[in-house]
Amino acid sequence: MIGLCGTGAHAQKFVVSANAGYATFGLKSLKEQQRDMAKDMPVQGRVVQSFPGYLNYSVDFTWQRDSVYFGLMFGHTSTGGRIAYADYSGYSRIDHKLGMYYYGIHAARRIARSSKMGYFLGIQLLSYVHSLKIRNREVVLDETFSSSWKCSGGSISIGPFLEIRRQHKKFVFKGRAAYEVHIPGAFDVDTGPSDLMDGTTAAAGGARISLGAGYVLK
Amino acid sequence: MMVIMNIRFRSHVSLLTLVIFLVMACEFEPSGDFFKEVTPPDGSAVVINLDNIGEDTIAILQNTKFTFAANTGKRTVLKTNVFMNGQLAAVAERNTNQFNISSNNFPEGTYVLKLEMHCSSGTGSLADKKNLETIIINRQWVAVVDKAPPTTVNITSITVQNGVAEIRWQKYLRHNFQAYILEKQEATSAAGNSYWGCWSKEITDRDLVTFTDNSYVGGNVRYRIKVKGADKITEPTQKDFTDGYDPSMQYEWLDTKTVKLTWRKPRAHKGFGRYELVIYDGKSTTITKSDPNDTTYTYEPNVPFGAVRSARLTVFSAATNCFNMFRDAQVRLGVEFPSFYEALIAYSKPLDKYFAIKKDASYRNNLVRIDGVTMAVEQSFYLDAGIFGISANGQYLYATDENALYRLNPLTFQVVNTYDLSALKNKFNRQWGGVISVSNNNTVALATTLGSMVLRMSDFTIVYEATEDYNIALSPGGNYLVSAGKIWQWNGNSFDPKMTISGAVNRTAFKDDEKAIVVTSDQNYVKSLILVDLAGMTSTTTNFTGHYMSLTFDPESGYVGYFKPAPELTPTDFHLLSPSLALQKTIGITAPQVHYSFYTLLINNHLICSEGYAVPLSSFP
Repeated sequence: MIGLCGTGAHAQKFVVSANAGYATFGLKSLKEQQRDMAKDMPVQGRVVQSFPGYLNYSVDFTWQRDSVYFGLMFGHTSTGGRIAYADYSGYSRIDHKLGMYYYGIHAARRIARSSKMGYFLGIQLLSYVHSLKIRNREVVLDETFSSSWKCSGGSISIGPFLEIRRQHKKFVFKGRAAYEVHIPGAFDVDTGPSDLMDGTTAAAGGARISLGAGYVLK
Repeated sequence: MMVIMNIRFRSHVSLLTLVIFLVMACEFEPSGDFFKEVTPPDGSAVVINLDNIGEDTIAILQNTKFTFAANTGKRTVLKTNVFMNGQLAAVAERNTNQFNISSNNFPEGTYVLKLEMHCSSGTGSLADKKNLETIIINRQWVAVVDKAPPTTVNITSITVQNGVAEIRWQKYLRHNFQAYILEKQEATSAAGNSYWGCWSKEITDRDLVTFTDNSYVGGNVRYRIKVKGADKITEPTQKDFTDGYDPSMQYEWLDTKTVKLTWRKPRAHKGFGRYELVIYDGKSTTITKSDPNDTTYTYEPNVPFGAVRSARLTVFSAATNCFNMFRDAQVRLGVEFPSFYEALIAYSKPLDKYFAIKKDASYRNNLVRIDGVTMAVEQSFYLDAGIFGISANGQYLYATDENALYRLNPLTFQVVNTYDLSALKNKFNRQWGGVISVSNNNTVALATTLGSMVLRMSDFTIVYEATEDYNIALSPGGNYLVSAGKIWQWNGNSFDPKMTISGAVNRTAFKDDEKAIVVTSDQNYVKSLILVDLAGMTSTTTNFTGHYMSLTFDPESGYVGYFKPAPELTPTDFHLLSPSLALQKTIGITAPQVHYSFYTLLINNHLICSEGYAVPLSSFP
């Protein structure tokens, strides 16, 4: 940050951007919990989906002066998983659905420029708020059983990013690639068995790729 | 400008709303599926059997507990209902697969007993695991409620085959059968008069109508069978059986010291447990034999003549609580010889026969003839209280029976002639014993209540007469007579006194017509032996300070023999003297039980005890 601040300050602008991209997630602990749940099923359930990468949306506000910018970031991403079993008599599914809202700050410094493009290397520090829903649904013969539990937790992420920017008149177009490392916190069980999330955390670290478009407000 | 600003603001709000909507719409939604191929349920392979029922018609008793076995494979039995003619009668216990039905709840008759078993499908499907998928399996039997008391069955045969006893009985045909109760009782004695309970078996298989008794080892046995049905038990029916087995333990002397015991092996040898042989020779020694074929035992009993060494053989059954057959052997030195009364025995060398008085069950006298080789009684002649005498040449055998004096054929006991003693004296002879001696010339000396006399039997004439001489004795040749304290000599017409004997004559033994050995006694039983040379009528007297018993002269061995009295069954000596009364040999024996009229005598080169055994003198080197 000191390095970022060390540049001269002659021109400045304020940009608001909307971004959409793709995020991948480690979530090792949740994946283990999913496997354990599959083992505990009375039938030989299988993990058919386990927290794959998914769309990531964010908006950010940056204040740029010369080659450095600072900003705030708000975003959302989600992922989930499924344990499934089906035979002639019915099916059983256990779905995990993890929604993640985050906010934080980011800063970058231009490290290169061409005639139309600026290349920025930066760092972002985000706070994640996780909302986990686990839903169990069984349809056996003529009977249906379902239950769902809710949990919440959080984590702190930090990670570098590389960003490419191009400004055309008042519009800014950018692409960013980041990698986040998460320091997870424990889950709280809002509804469901109290020991449901014992030892389970949401370390949602992973890669983040996004494209965005912004508008220079000032 | 403001318009432009409004338009821009509205655009921004719309854009933000759109973004939020997109965000919400694009929330991750789990997807994917896994389908496992599982075979749908099929209950045809389930098998249900009632364990305690061997057939499809079953009896319902007062409190009948049924246990069933269900081979359901991977299927879990959830519930089993029991119906009698469609009416729910019981619900089986899940853990034990048991249920109870009481005949009290149903009138007599025939029913359909149905088991309705609810099982999981066992397919492993989700529905199976959730116990939402069940199959119902039905199995039914014909059931009969028969409350009448059972009827008896009979034992049809008992045989011993292949070493075991097999018992067969009639099959019980009614449906209220519960069990056959087979009992075994064994005779407590060889006669089979009383029985001792051995075991009882309950056989619940109606079709099982034979039983192999591995505990039977032989002898008298009684099997009883009862039927248990409708919770009642019949009176027993029974059948007695014996395979005729008796160990019949016998002994034989292998030499002068060693005895071999021999007994019979049981036919039902598979029921055999062991032989246990207890040898008594002052102390008891037990020998156990586990091989049924090992039926001999050799040992040295160290038994003197006259003593008894017992040996008890017990044949044990393989079953521990069954009666065990035992037999005793009384080991004596010598061979068996027919018992006889006191010392009333004579040996005829020309005939090689013994003649003796033997008491019968009524304690009456019987003259018996004993073979000299087999030592077995050949023939018996009833004498009541009479006695007998036989000449040394074996030609003349006489016996008395009150007034009758019989001349008998020695080899057939046919009565050659009968003489009436009362005719001689014109009074009744109450014969109670006395003595009788017969000479080779058909002359008889006898003592009766009529008096003592010598009879010439050719004309049944009294040739000598004396009063109250119960020690009268005639020499084998008939030439000499000891009577009334004198020795008399036949002169052709009558007996002439030749010598007076000092002391009271107790007994006389002749060596042919050469010598007489006269035993005298006084009231203190101090005895002397007077050896008389009959030709010269000279005598030698040997005084005894002790007693003697059963003195005989045995022409075959040439010895005079007697034993010194001693307390019964205690050691004493048997003395063998030369005809000149010189001591030749002393044999250690056990004193016979004179109290029971048993004597030990020297006869025919044997020591013979009237209790019933004999041993040759050669056994005493």
